[in-house]
Amino acid sequence: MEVKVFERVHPREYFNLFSEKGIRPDGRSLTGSRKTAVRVGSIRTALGSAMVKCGSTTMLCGTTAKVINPTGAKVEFAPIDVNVELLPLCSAKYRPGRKPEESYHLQELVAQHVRRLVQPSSLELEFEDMMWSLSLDIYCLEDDGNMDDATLLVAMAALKDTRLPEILSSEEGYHVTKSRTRTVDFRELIVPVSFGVVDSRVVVDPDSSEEALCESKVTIFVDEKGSFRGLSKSGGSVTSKDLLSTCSKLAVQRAPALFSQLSN
Amino acid sequence: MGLREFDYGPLVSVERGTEVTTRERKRQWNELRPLFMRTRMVSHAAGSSYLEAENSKVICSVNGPLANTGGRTEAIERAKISCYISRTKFCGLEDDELEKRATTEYEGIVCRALESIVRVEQYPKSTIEVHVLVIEDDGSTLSAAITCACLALADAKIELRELMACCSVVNANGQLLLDPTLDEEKEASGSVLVSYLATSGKVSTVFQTGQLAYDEMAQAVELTISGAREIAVLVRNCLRQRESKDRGL
Amino acid sequence: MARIVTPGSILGKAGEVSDGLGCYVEGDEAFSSVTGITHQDGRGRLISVDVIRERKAIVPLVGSVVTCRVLRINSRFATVEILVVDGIPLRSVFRGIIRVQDVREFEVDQVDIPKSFRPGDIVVAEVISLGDKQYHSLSTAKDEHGVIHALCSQSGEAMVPINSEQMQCPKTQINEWRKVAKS
Repeated sequence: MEVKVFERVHPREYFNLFSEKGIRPDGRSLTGSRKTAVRVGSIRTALGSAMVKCGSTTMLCGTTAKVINPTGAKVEFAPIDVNVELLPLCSAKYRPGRKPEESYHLQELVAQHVRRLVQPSSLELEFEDMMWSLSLDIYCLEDDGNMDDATLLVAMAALKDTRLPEILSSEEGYHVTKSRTRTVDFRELIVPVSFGVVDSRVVVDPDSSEEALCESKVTIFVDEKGSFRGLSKSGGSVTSKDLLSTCSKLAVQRAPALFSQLSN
Repeated sequence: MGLREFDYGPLVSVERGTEVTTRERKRQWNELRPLFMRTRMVSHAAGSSYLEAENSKVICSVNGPLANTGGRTEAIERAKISCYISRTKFCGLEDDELEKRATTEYEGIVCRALESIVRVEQYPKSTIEVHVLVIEDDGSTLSAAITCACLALADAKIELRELMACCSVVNANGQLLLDPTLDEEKEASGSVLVSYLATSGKVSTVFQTGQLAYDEMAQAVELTISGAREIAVLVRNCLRQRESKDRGL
Repeated sequence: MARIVTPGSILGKAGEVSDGLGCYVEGDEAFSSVTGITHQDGRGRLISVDVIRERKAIVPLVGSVVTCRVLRINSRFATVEILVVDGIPLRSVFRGIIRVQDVREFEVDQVDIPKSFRPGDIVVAEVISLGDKQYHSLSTAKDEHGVIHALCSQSGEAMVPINSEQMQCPKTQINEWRKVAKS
């Protein structure tokens, strides 16, 4: 049987032929990641924008902002709304109509991180009770696996690229000037490194064909100092402590490359 | 063009500046904006394309031929074409413009335009899905979507009778303008869009909005076709380059 | 001379070009319908426009030989998902059915579906009609069509064909009934 036909008909056996030898169908080692690139500022019509490509997985993010009047206690978390769109454009897996489950998962993932990482004080305005509220709109242009990493990275890159205008007060009210100098400041940065577990073997940065075979997925969050900052595991299979510590070590190794991409 | 102004909510007002459009500065009334086209943007899709006309950016991907999902009775001897158009939240259109560009109507126009070129009889009992995302809208995005869709279908190796390119013209302040920007579309009293078939020289879709005088209409269509002809050459070259690259020539 | 053509490229007069793949005739001229390279026969006549194999857009047509996976069975037919058409993997699955009268050529009225196919089996079949709304109609009547891969229901090992009606598990030595494809 031809190779491509074998891959189609017996995907798990095809993958195992490679993983038994410590490599994967695309040539990477089990611990190898795909080429990751972060590009900012390409969308004129957004206040900040970024595009992240991790292999073929491509996420695009644009930020928009509104001035709001939050009443009540001091704001603890930065007011950031996140919307992730997974359109059929990015993969035949998603059908037109209903928003897929993965969108909600990615929205939660980004929101819980950026709301804590962004300093609310950088969004506060000098006028009483007014502050900037940001909206992150993330679109997947191609889903080739491991959207978690690419999505959180694109959100942080777009926020770093965002420039908000100055607001002046006059008798007629508040108005926005043309100058855009205000940046969004972060308390710290955290990067995600995701793994798939296929037949109890850990693969770093799974692509879509590998994700389809995974019995579970693990994401480790690492900060700039290389410390472990969080873990997320999905999938019903049992994951041993050894496996999780392997993932942690690999994540700490991969993190510096992602931080340097973000800072460029 | 000056920086587009954003809406920052009801609490603050925005200074509307006097912006000089590209047209006043250097582009002629009958000149197209510089175009950039690429295929294979979404590597795992059956076919895909990207089109950029200065500040208008459109991406398209094609799924299929897919199995019919059943339900409605569809003719089984030919493929069905479905089009879906989405816009990013930050594409630059405000609410009132979004209302004028009803997505369902646009999807219907793209479908009808594509039906004139796709050889649907080659794919019985299947559906061909075309997905368009408008990333940034600086005018002429419906015509860009149609050209992009044709390019993506050709990239998907779906049989087409011929290539199609689409262009539009507006009538703003008594002057016909080819390949209008968003500001020119906003100022316009009428517009016309034409999709042009490259080999036979025929016209397959004409979409007109607003008001155009009778003799203006004829002129506008002529002008649009001249623009579409140029775009068709670019579409053809884009496909030929991709084919050479694929074959390592 | 082979050259790159795009949809709508004029290939020649209808008489000079034999009706082939990737081209069509309208009026008295022949045109290309895909982007590809022209392919000529021995006498220099154009016979097709070649598309890179992995990128072909295909659907199961009457006469196509397809590779499928059995999804479920009942007493009247087996439901399959079609994965490969004429050696080219499909971009998205199509569904098909193999009716009890299309399983084999002899003793058609004595065919028992559970003794011919089981869910999970990989089967090679031929498309005999486009069928109704959802399913293509397939047939495994020919000797070379039928089950090419099946797992033993007890051990889960891949079984080995013994004859045209049985396969054996190498681990448990148990025989199971299948309509086996002759290799």
